[in-house]
Amino acid sequence: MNRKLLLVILVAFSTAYFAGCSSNPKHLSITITTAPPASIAPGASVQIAATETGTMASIDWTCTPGNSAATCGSFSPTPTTSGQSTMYTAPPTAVGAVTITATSEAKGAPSASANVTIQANQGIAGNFAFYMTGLDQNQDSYSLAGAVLIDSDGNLTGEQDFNDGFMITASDQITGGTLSVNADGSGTLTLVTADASVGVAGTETFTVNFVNNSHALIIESDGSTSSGSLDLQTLPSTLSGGYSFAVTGVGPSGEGVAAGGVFTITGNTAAGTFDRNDAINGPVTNTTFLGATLGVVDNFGRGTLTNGPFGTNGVFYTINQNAIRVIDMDTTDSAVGSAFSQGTATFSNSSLGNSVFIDQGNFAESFLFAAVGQIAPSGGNFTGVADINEQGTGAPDFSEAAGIAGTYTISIGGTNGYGNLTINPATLQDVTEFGIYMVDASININDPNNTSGGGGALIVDLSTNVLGVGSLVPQTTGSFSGNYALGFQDFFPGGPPPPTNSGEADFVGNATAGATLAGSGTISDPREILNNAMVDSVTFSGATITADATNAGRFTITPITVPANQVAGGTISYSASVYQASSGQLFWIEDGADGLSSVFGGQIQATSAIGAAAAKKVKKP
Amino acid sequence: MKRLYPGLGALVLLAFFSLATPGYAQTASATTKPTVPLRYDVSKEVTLNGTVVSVPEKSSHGQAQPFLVLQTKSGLINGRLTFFAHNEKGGIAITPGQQAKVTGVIMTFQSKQVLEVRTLEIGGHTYQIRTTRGFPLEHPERNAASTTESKGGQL
Repeated sequence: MNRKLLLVILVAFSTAYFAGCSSNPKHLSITITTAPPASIAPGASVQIAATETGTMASIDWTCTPGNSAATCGSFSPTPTTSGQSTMYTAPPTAVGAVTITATSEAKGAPSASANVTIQANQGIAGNFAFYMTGLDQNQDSYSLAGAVLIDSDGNLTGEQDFNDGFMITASDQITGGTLSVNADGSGTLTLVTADASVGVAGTETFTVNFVNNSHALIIESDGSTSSGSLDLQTLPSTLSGGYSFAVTGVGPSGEGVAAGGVFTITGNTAAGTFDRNDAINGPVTNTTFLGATLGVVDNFGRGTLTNGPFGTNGVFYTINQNAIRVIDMDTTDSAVGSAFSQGTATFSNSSLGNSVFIDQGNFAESFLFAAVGQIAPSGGNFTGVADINEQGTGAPDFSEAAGIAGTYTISIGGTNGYGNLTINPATLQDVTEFGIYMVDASININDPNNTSGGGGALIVDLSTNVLGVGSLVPQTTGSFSGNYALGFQDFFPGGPPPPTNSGEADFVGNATAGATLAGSGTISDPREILNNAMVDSVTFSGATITADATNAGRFTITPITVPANQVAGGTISYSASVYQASSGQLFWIEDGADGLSSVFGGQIQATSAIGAAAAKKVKKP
Repeated sequence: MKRLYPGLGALVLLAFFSLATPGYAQTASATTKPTVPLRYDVSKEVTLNGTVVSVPEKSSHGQAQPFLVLQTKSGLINGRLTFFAHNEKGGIAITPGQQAKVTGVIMTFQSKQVLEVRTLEIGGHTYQIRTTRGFPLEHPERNAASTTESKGGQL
């Protein structure tokens, strides 16, 4: 064959072959090689890219729904070349699911897509109920409960009930406000009301740390300070059957009050039995009430319970059919707390297994104290170990890993879960007696939407020399490591020794636990006990976590050092005693050994999805 | 007066001077102290009359421990009020030179002897600032006319 002819044929075949490839979709492909994250905030921008094979044609970027900046976002630049990044900017509102598509301009070329969810606040939205108790800047105790509907952009409306039992008893509409949540679960909640007597000129500011998408630890941080919980609501929910409850507050003479018991809701009436311990009369037990009346529940889950166990004018906010927050709205006294369903179970002494408890008085109630411990019950007797920090009228006292023992009765004279527990005297300072009010085994007292960690009881401290409230939670084995949300309510009697000022400071934040504890958070300190500021952002690291070799489930953490320019040396180094109900739920108190006369008690709760992101941001100690 | 508080003069003088000195730091040996603290015992109450020498100090950022110093016939006495008695709102107005009558129990506070004040009569009012169990009461002004403790139990 003529060589020239052969060359022409080969060139012709080659040209035909490659030309065929460029027009044959079977030989083309496109892939999104730099994908967007699964979710991003409204208005946020991220770099994305796509890469082609078999063509060098331009790539067009589009999105659905609507393919506009307002409905699904925008791209700059578009088109791009293969492998070139484009900046995707999300729409300004939380539109939810968006599909991003890269399409080659080559004839017949395929396209590639990626999904992204446009959501504010890590997707946290819906109806939430909140409650808290604390002190305002004048050291007046107050109770607060309410509910808000938070939309997908973090805007909200709602209603609340505030009561200090002294000057302000107010039911307010929340006309606006916002929730802002960071990836680590920390955030800020603002509530706007027309009531200038609450918050700052009617606007209240709270610092939150979400444990999961349905539960956050919360403190007020706007010149008043308090601690509580924010929980997703299931509405509407009908209340029925047996409930246990506990509340804390102040009575008509400004005396500290703690009360708890059990009651049964039948239709729109409630009747039950309760205990009360107040700073004037001391513990009064086994008081019955009849004929309490439930009012209509509104769209925010707010209802009234008149002439009931938590005030003549009781108000509740529904979390779900198993859990409500309650507040006493009488004008001369104030209290706030919770009630939980007892389900259909009957309760006996065998209903109480190995458990962890926390017990804390409020600022007004008695001598400042907090106690935490664990018990192993058996047939009406128990043994255990506990820590207490008590700043009494006498010298400050505390006990660490004190052996305790005593007796208990669940369901006094029946099966309704109304019981008590007696600690042998002089083993846990002034704490000697609890009222116990059992809850359904499926309900997590400290995170009511959590399907694990359920059971146990609400408790009221019925001791002669102290009074407080708390909870008793079943104890299982588990590790103390990973990511946690933390909170505590810290009381200072006033120095000397420094810090000089008396009052309350509250902390909420998150941390990573391992050999050490490291994290960050916010301290609300309206009386500037620690620093020359009413709100402090703090970080801490290097606090050693030590498991108690003798008492499994007990840990110590020291030192948790935070800035405090009101104290010599400029820092406070807290030491804490921790008791573990499970790997997800722990209680802690300040152990009292720092000599600063302060007392804190609070919760440590393992974080899930939101907290997982937090771990990446926390510097390892 | 002697019948009410024999030997109290020397005690309160000692208390005053010991309070005026530093040394509140807690020692390490206290970390395992298991003793039960002293508690308010209403049967040991004493009543004292005196002139206000100094009022509860305020730190630059708020309230310090609320100690009221009275000059009595037997000497100076440190009366320990409550957080709430000295509040900016609902607290008790006290000025040096006023005549006052206090009822309370001599107790140990941070290793010092003080009079834990339950009632304070001053400026024509009698304020109840603690219960007979020694617990503080919020809003002493609310209890200014109160001579009994019968308001509890409504919660």
